[in-house]
Amino acid sequence: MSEADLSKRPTHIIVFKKPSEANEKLLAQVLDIHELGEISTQASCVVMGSEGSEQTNLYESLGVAVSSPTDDQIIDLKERSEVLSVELNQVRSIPPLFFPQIASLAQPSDPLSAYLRGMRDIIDAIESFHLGIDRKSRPDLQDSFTALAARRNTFSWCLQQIGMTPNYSIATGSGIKVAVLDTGIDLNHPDFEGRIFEGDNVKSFVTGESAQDGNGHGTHCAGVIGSARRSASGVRYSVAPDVDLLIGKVLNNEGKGYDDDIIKGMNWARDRGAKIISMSLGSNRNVNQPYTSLYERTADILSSEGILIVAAAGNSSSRPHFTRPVNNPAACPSIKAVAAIDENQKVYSSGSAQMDKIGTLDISAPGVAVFSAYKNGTYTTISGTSMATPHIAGVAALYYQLNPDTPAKIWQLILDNTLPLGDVNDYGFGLVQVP
Amino acid sequence: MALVHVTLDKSLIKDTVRRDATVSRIVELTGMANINQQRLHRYGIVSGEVSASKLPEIRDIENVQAVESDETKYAVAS
Repeated sequence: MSEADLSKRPTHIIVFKKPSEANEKLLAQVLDIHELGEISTQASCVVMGSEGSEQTNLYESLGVAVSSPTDDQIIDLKERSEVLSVELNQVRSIPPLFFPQIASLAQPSDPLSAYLRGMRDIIDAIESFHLGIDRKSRPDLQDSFTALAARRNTFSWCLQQIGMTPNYSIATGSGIKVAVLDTGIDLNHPDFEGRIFEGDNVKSFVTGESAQDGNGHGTHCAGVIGSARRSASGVRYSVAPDVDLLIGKVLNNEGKGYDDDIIKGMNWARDRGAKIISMSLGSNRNVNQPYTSLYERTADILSSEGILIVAAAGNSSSRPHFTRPVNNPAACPSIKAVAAIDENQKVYSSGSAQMDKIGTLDISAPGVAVFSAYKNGTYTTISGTSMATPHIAGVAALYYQLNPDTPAKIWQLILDNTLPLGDVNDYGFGLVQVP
Repeated sequence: MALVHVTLDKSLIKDTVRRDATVSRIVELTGMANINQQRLHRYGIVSGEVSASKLPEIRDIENVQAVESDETKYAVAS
């Protein structure tokens, strides 16, 4: 599948005034379609259509349908008293990345960081009043300050939380191949200098885009796993600097990708000899909605061949207001679901939770205000279970180096060494620790 | 027409006779187009394009474990 398939997506969203069984009848009447069944991965979605027509999905409990009506049908729908609106189905992209305050990177009592923060505020004011520059809309400017502040902490708080010290040398991930399936990588980033990102070690599965990361998400994740021990930023943030990275671009520069390409990427990683596959990607799942069979079968087979697969649990919650269940494909039994914590070892407020017996949370890792490499040779801090996942992948590489064994035995070693944090529904078995 | 992924029963991965017969049955009943069988021998998964109206029929075929539409996944950062 490719970007061209976006054109096959339903063109309009039909919003009813209220959820009702009558909505299905109305759609059948206006669009001349009938119920075909339910999509297995979306139990509450009624699939409607007819021979030769585009598929219509009616989300009964929401009172919303997605369809491709004709102009006449749109007019008809808008005239119905039961219909609130008929709107274009627009392409959405990932939310803006979260750039935390400079203070969250630095030690609270660090006078230089406080000074930098004050300087930044002064410059912000000058730029805002006299030059019309809004720093919040300029992540490149924000980045320069976060990088500057981070240099004061030459050893990432994330690495400290997983039990590493600046002199840690028990394992480095040497000889272990880790595949990062994401938005690609900044091939020219100084922290990957000397890496061979050509030939079979890097591949794009996204039609029309090279492996060069135009998003930054993939570079950030790869950086956490295995960027240079001595970063050009002055901050040590990589868990396993000697791993062999395999970069599979399965998400486009907008951070979106199709199952078909992701599965291709997983199979490619297997053929390239990966011992670990790290996937900071997913899609929302409802409580008690099944995990995806496509990913579970693939992961099950790969696991039996000696590959450990980890995936982000998801950022679907908003604590303390509500929590949402673990995403797909992290909900698959053969894929380890990773939760995120902050530097106070508290669960990331947006992190998805274990809310049913289908999507279990396996483990936690640092995922709030995580410093790492970014696109265009820069650095930044981002939050999300996406950032926790590569920490687990990196630590797993360390264990693999010391104990070449099956994924099940490696995983048991990892679990045996976790630091319990509390509620398993938020933290899984606890905070990962290096060997 | 939509891209779907059909996961066959795991036992069919090594049972080539039943596996091929099941795939033939899927194609015969649904007219599946642009069939991708590259994942068949290793994972027991066949993909292809079918009309949405055929999804229930595929699900009812013996030895079919699941039928799923090709969906979008997102980078999980906020």
